[in-house]
Amino acid sequence: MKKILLIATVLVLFLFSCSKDNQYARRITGEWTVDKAEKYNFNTSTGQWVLDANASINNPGTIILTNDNKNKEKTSSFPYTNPATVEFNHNFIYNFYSGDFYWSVDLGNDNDLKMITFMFEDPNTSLYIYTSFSIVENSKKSLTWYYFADTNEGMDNGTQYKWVLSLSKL
Amino acid sequence: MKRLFIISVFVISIGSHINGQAISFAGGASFISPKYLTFQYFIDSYNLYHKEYLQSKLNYLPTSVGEYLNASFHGNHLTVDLGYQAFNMSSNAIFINGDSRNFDFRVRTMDLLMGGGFSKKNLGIWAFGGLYFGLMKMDSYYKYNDGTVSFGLDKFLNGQFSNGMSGYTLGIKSSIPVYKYISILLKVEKVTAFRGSLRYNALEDRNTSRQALGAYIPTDFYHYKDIITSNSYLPEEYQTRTDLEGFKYTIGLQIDIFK
Repeated sequence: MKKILLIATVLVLFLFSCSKDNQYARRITGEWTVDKAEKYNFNTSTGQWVLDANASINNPGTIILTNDNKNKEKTSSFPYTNPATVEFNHNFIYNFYSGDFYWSVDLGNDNDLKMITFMFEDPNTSLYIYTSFSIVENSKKSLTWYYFADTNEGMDNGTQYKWVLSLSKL
Repeated sequence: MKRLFIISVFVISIGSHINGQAISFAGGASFISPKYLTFQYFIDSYNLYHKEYLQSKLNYLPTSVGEYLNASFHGNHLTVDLGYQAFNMSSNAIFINGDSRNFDFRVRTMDLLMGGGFSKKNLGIWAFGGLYFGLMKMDSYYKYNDGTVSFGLDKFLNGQFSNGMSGYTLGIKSSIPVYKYISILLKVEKVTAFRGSLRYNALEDRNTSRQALGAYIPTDFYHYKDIITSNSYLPEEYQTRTDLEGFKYTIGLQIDIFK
């Protein structure tokens, strides 16, 4: 009987163990410095991304990610509840400038970090405004995020530019 | 889903053991030859819309192999099976410029089957039928030609879609004795999806940032393009469902635990 109870306890713990996206959200919580933001344009004739050195920015600011273990918790008022503060000295990504945001992360089928999304409520329109970054590299001390912009209205096979953000933990 | 399966098998096994029933566990591989009607509609329209720009079209989901676990509670003529299957499948299109649109599917199902047949000294054959339920998750992402992947809001089709799936299955299984309590399990079955309310089986993006326009995968890409342009919502009848079905073939090793 003791054995059955022991196995049952282990199985229940197994069943209710912590979700993976909350684990990743905890891991990237903290104050991050954006060391540089580099802009790349897509050259449709060569099929290559070309660095736009004139548009690139050194030390554009900081991003503070706070975690209250509610990654992507949905309520009627706010879909996201983990707060973030962005302090940028350049306005280089549309709708992503200094201010308060909410954030969440998404994992892929391989259970690795794929995306971080920021959201704020526009006080003029009361609409939720979202900005997402693809997470290309992630470690405890450094992150690389890509922000893709599409000139083909969100359809596939569009021409684009991208911002590559290199972040390090303070 | 796997956790639910393990808990269920554990609970039922204790009950069956107490009642003195025979129990067998099996593990092996399942092969599914999928027919996925609503997603195939999407594939056809997507390929047609982008035909001038594609070097490789989106493919229908191929025959796939996945993990199979099963617990059988049986007598000589009746069997009750609790099974678990896991399949990963993918489809992708490559554009002339080297970019690609990718869909990665992860399907996890549990089934509860009842059957009748005959068995003697571990040699047996049964016809069975039953219900299955499960979860389908699908990652849709755009891969740029330099290898970088975007799940982001730059493409409407990007997203992480999921919903429940359910249906019924009919088939035949056989066990062939190998050594003492060990036998080979063979199963052939036809899996058919329930086509009930769309609310419960439309592939939906759980990320609320895409809940407005790109929350669903369309069955008709041309119609979707018009919808996106006019800032309207995609009607239910044009959403891809979790209606994956087809023939499934299973081979595994079965061990009698309590006899």
